[in-house]
Amino acid sequence: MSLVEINLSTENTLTPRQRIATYVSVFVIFIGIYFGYVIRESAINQTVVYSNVQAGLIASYPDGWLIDEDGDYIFRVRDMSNLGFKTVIQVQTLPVNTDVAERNLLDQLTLSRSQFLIDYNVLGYSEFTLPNEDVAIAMNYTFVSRDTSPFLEGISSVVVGLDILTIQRGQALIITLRADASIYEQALTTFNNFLSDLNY
Amino acid sequence: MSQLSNARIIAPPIEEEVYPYRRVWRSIGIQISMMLLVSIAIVLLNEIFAIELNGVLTFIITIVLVALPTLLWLIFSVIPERFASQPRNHLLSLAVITGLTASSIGIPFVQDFFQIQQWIPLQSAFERIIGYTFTVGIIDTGLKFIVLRYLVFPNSFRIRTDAIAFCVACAIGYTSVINLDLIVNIRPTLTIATVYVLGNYTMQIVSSLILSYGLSQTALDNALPLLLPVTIIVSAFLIGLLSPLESGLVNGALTLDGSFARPLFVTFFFTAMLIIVPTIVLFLYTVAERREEEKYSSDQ
Repeated sequence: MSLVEINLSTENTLTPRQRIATYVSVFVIFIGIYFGYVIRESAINQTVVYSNVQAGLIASYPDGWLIDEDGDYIFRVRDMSNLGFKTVIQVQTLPVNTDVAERNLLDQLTLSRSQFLIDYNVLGYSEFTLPNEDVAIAMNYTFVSRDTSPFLEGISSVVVGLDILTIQRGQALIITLRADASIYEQALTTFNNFLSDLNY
Repeated sequence: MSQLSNARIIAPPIEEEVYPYRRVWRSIGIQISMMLLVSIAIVLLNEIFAIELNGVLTFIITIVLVALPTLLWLIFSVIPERFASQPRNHLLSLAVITGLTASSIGIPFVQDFFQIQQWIPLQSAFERIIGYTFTVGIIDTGLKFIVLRYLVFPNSFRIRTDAIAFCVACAIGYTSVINLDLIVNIRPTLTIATVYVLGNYTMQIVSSLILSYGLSQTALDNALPLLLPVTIIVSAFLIGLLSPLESGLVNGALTLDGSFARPLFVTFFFTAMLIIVPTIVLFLYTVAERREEEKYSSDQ
């Protein structure tokens, strides 16, 4: 019986220099990808410091977001790069009596918002621990956002909101996040980063 | 008086040396020229006559346009390869595997993991170049290198131009998939589709030519181990440089009269890139060949 040798010639015939070149190349590719990841993280997490001496507040908001102080709030920042509803983080204060409960303030907000927000609906309340260990109350809600101009013929979006309310030095501090329901989880990460850097 | 014989004097036949391989530079030259001709013709026709096509016709022409680099490559590279006495193997398999790699790893990695559209366009010009280099550039070049390394390098490399043939096959596979992805997802107008198809083709071809130089020198010239990684970085950088320029040049500067797309301008820019970079690579290959000839003659 004869032996038939099958030679597929798949043997790797790299010279030492070629082998080193291959290893270094693969290493360079992985380092490059890691460097790209680092650039991405620093670009996404880049922040701008906002300080308001009058309100006693220092915050860091995402770079590239639009800030304004013209409303009935201390400031708000919006991500104008979003299509549809612009993700917003807002900080406002309300004067309160010493005997008022946090829950009463949230009910008051609910009543007023129901007047102008379409299909405003409170999802629930929960306790929320702020980064400085203060315990606050959180309220989740949804409403429908529609383009201001009916001629734009835009499709309405469902917005998810989160209010964090805490009473400090005789005033209620309300920190709000509102984002399109489809990107809410992603916006929540940004909001948590915002909260962790907030000093009041 | 002597008479000249009227018999015709026939020179003995010169024994021509038959070149056993397909001539790669000529094929690439034809492919690039035809790709440029079609792209410039479409853009010029649209700019001058402002032809308005309906949606279905635009989509069909766009699909043909997406398929054009592959068709040209099949006609001018793959089919002639079969008639060469020493054909190169694995060209089709390289293109198919690179295309599948782009579809399964490259595009998801860039779009879903790096999410480049969320942060790179907002950066400054320099940061955009760096951002694209270390995301899109390094992924594209890295995947092409890994496919080449584990399919053909170095066993299938016989002459220097083999590296070009293999790298162009990878470029065609990669560019076909990213063009198809772009056209299906964005559905741009014909002019913009032409610019993007030409842009992706340019980026993949020029970066692959640079990569091919590193591979050929490492495989055949036993070059320093650092040459290959350097060509990978340069190749990634070229993609990183051209990606923001593509979108920056397509969308004109914002003026008081508004912002207008400049497809003709960007088409001529890519034309220049498709002439300059291959010329530089051709020069590098010629120098390498000459150096080897000198070395061979001195050894004799």
